[in-house]
Amino acid sequence: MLRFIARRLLETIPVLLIIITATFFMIRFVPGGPFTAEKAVTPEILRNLEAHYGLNKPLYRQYLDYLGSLLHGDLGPSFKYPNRTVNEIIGDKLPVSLELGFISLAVALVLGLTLGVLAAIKRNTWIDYVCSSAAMIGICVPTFVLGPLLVLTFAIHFGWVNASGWYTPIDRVLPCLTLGCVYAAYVARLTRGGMLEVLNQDYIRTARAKGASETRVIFRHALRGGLLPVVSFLGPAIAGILTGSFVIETIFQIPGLGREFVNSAFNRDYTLVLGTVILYATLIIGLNLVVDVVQVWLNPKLKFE
Amino acid sequence: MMPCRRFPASLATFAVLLLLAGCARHETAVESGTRDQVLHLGNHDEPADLDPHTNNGASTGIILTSLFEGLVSYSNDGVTILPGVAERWDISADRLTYTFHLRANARWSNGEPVTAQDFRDSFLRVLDPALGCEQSNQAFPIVGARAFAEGRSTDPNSVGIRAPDAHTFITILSHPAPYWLGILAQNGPLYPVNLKSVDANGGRHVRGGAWTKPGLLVGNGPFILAEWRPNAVIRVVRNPQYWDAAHVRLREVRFYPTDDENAEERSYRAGQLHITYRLPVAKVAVYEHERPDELQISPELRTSYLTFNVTRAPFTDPRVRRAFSLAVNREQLVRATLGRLATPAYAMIRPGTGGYTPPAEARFDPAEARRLLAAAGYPGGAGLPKVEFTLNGNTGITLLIAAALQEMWVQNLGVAVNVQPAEFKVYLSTLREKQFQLLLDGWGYGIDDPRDLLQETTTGDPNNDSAWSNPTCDAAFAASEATPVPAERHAAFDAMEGLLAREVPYAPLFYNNQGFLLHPSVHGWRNNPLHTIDWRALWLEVPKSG
Repeated sequence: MLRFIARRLLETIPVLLIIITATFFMIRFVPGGPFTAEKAVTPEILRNLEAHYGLNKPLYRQYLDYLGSLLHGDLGPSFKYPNRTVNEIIGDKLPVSLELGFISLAVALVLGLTLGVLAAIKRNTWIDYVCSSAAMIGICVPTFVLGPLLVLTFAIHFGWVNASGWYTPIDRVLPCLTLGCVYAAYVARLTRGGMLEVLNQDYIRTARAKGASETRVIFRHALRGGLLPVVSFLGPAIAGILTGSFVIETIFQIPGLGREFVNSAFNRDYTLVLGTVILYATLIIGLNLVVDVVQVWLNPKLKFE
Repeated sequence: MMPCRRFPASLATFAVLLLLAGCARHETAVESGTRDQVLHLGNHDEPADLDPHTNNGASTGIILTSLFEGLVSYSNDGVTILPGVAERWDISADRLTYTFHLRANARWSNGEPVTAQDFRDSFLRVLDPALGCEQSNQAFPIVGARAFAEGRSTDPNSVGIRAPDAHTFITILSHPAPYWLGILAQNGPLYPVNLKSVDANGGRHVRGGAWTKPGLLVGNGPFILAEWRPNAVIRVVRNPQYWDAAHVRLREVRFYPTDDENAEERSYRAGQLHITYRLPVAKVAVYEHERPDELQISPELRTSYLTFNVTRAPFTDPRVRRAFSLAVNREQLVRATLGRLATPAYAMIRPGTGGYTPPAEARFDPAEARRLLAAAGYPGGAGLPKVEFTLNGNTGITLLIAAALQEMWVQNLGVAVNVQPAEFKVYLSTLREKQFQLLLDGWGYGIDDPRDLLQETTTGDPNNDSAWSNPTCDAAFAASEATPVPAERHAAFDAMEGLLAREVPYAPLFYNNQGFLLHPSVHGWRNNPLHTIDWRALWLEVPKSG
């Protein structure tokens, strides 16, 4: 297993390099630059600004300089926020997105797995229909509808929580519920599908024939196999949920990384774009590796190769 | 036995009660803030930095007014110039030399006195080419300022600023600029900064120094920076060193960067904000009906207009440009789109700007529009080259305005334009490189004077997006700059407006109005087109009727 992990980690290096290179050059070829502002500045000022950030050097030189500083863990200065470095911005915003992500993930798993398992074991009963409908509604209702609806109800009508912000623990409730519900819906659908497939397998019939209780059959035998599609889904989903959700962060005005990820592209904040892309890519690659390891652990038919 | 059997039920009841207690309606930020004199203010977007010399954003400018004070400042009416660090000033007979007498009790937040040398060093920092201050042109009325900023002179003494003693600061202008005090009063780049603190934490020649962080920022305004949590809140507290601290009644101001106007409106309704920065267009009618006292509509010094690229067909012909302008029913356009958040515009300059009322020369005349288009060789729009109408962004309201204009041109000219929404930076680069035919454009005036907008119609101005060039217009602008006499300046502006109405490189559509919400507990607030705030005038109190 260690050899498998080591090999996969080594493969990560060229993948990341390709991603960095592609992002570096693509963002440079987009029209407009970090200092393109509504009120035009004189060419002298523009030249000085570009010289300050090294943008007057040939592009290949800038690329090599960037790679050089990246090797030292330096993601460079932000163009939009001159008194902050990209490392500082990510260090500041990532914990917020992680907190939002982890709580939402917990909501998604608890809700999604419960609904999915219930729907599968009570297949074609009213419980199944209720659970499946709830999941379908969760998938269909976008976060920008669900979020404001929750705000209108719990923040404005009842006055129990704040409508926006990330100041006190209770401020976590609405955004995490909104984000969690969407993922819960997918988890529920996948769990139901996976469980139904597994419940028809011979080994489940064998377990029942041997007199195992229904609870034991579900939790001991079926759930492990039934969760395989959920685990595959969770790899990229966790990366997405952890690096922040632009929509949720905008609706609830949360100072997370998701807004920076999107806004940095609009601001042509080259270094911040690269920094967030590198982080996102690393997370996706890392979590996919974790998913592969977990899948082998869950499914004895698979082997590390 | 009974108590044992009842235990789970009791526990559940307790949990539910606890939950309800936790969820009880809590005291809102506005309620506690009103009691404690803490103002909660929605402030649009996250500041790039809090260095007044590199700031380029209007909403950041509001924060800067709380942290810094210039030589003079605006009162809450946005018109009256109040003494700032300068307690009085003299203007020479030729209107070129302004001598400011600084008050002896003006202090930095670290207790050091604010001196004339601080102003001299700060002005030179703004003009320092190495800093690359985008707003350095605000100082260009000063003799030698432009040459210094453009690197043509490196001698600080060539710039017309003098500090003969600690409490006297002199500015010498190259032309009588009656708007000079207005520029100095703006929340712009002519604030002083504490160079000692700047040099110790980053250096005066570089942007992005650590000196703007809480604990390091030394200001001279009514408040001190206490906390800056990016994208969450900027908290400023009363500055005891401020010379007029006795008249500052607010204990604290919290600025919330809220880039989503819908989220901001919801926060206001949930009691988190005393004042919002904006209001979604769709909400104006709701508040008008339900809470008219809280709805504020304030005229903005901003004109929205069409920009024609005069170097590209078919807009090389002024008759085509005029036809497009005459085909627009501005009343209908405003009614169908922005409603009270705009006022139809019949001249480039908003009436009342700097005391000037322009002649209303633009009009709606579809018959004349069709006649001009036919005279240009395109009767009923036949044979007219394809027109791309480029927009800044694709938000609902921008698309709505474009759709209304598109429909008017189809109906009144028989011309179908192709709407092309562009992302903001793509839009900017399109207009800078003149890669467009027709733009939906706009300009917010930096000062309360027509020159700010009219300058962009002069030859070679970096913001003259239409690429129009007219020597008569340039001469009129130069004439307006050469005289301090209002009647002579207004005559020059009239000439420029007349030329613009005939040649139509730009076609005014509407003047913007800012809609926002103001909680009844905020007292001393006055709407004004410059959105200036005199913090000393504000206080919080539960309204008597409430």
